[in-house]
Amino acid sequence: MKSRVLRWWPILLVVAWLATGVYTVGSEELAVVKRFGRVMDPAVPSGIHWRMPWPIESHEKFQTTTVYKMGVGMITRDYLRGIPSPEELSLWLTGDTNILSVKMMIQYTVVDLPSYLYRMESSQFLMARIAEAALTETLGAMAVDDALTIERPRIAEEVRSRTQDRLDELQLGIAVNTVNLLSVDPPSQVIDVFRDVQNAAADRERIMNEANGYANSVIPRARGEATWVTERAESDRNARIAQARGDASKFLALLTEYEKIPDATRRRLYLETMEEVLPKVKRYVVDLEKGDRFDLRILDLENGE
Amino acid sequence: MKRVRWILAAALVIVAAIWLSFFQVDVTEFAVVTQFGRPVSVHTDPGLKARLPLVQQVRRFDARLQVLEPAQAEFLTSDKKNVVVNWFVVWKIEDPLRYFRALPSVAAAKSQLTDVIASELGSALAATEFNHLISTEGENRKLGEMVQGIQDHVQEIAHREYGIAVQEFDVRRLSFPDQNRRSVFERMRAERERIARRYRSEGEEEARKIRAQADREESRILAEAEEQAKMVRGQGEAEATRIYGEAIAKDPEFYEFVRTLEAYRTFLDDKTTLVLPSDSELMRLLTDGLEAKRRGGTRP
Repeated sequence: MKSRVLRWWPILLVVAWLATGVYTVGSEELAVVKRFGRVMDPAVPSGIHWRMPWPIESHEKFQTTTVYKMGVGMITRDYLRGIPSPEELSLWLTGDTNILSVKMMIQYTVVDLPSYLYRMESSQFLMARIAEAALTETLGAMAVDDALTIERPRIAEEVRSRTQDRLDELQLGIAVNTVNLLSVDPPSQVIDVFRDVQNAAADRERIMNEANGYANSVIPRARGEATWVTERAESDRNARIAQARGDASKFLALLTEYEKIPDATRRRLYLETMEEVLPKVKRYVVDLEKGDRFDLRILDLENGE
Repeated sequence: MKRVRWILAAALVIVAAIWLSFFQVDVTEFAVVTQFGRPVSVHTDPGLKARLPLVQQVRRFDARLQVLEPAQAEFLTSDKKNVVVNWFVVWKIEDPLRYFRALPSVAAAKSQLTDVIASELGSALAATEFNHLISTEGENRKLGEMVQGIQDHVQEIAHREYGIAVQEFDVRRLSFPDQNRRSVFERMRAERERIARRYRSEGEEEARKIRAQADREESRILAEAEEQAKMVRGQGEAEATRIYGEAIAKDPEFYEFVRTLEAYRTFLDDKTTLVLPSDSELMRLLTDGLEAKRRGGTRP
């Protein structure tokens, strides 16, 4: 029994050696198999596999479904831990020679594993530098006000496409999924005056709104008053006409009566009027010859009836 | 048993011979086989390669892309502006033999490449105006062109002299030395203050314009209303006059009489002192008796 095992040990050794070629690939991973340093299978899917054992073949695994992050204008590791990076790193020149602080986060995946693993070591750092160069180029063509407002969405897109183009040229096996613009701000040294410009713009709006409010209250009020004035004039006119009609018909009625007995009516009207009027007034009856003058001074002396 | 030992010994010798006669070239490297220090063959493709055991040595070189990024350097543009440039270059060994001969080590390669690029960059910047590096006017911008020019030139030198392929050269960041940066901030500050002032005075101006327009509109509306009112009242007056006229025309003399009496009612009140001659119409009955009444009855 013992001698049998001893006799078979070289074969067991070979079997054990062959067994070292078994490896597993996780569900989020891909593996590359190399034979004598040459890539044989660039994308081994998840599962249990066998390759020829060392030193003939070797394998390397990598998580390819993970989306990786790389920051621009900051120290990525610090950013992910919430530690602020020096502002210096995020300062870029704009086309009108202003300085802006821009931070971006690149999200990328590995799409070609052999290229990613063997074309270069730590190619994500190169990707960040390429993105920085793209940002220098992009912002260097923009005016500061545009970069802060209307051109702002273009910055990330421009950087993304330029970076992807360079990465493809260099065949690094990286796909840039998104470039997120984390912030575009004036540097801390001048941020207060930039804010003041925003305040000034708001002030301008406010002052104009107040003026518009004034206009919106004054003009309807004036219209209301105008309507009132014209309405009153209308009613005055109608009243005047009504009065005239009334007077006229009263007069005509009176005239009809008058024409029946003119003398008596005339006298009656006169006396009625006098009767009504004279009790209110101070009156003097002076017996005068025709043509005599009446001396008013006597009235002043009496100072009474 | 003895035979087995012999077989084992033979197997060991064979394995050792194979081990020494073959070597791997990884996908990430190039290999140069030297014999007594003299290169005899170059392997730029990965795989299993043969060599003479013991006599030949293998030197390996990194075949991957490498990034060279020296410390930032200050340059002067053609219009005498100081500009700080961060640049990087991506390179790889292209011709291991030439690289091996030209440069003793990687450190030497990096310093050589840095020197070449720095001098290229210096002379390119010295021939370029600052506002051709960054500019909002597209046709003025020469940065991309300049970078490409340097890349092409360096590529050619590196290829010829060092067996290095320059894959990418780019300016990572342009900035100013500290002192110039402060003056840029000063300028930005002044510019913003000017803009803020302009916004505020624009607001004032616009508001005043709006208010003035509103006031003008207000007085126009009111004036038009007054005018309209006057016209309407005039119409009323005219109509009234016509109505009165029509009535009066029937007997103007009687109208005058009636209207006069009405006027008396209006203007004679307790502040009035009236002096009546005794021979007036009103008093005549009192003074003259009934005769007078008959005589002058028709005249008030």
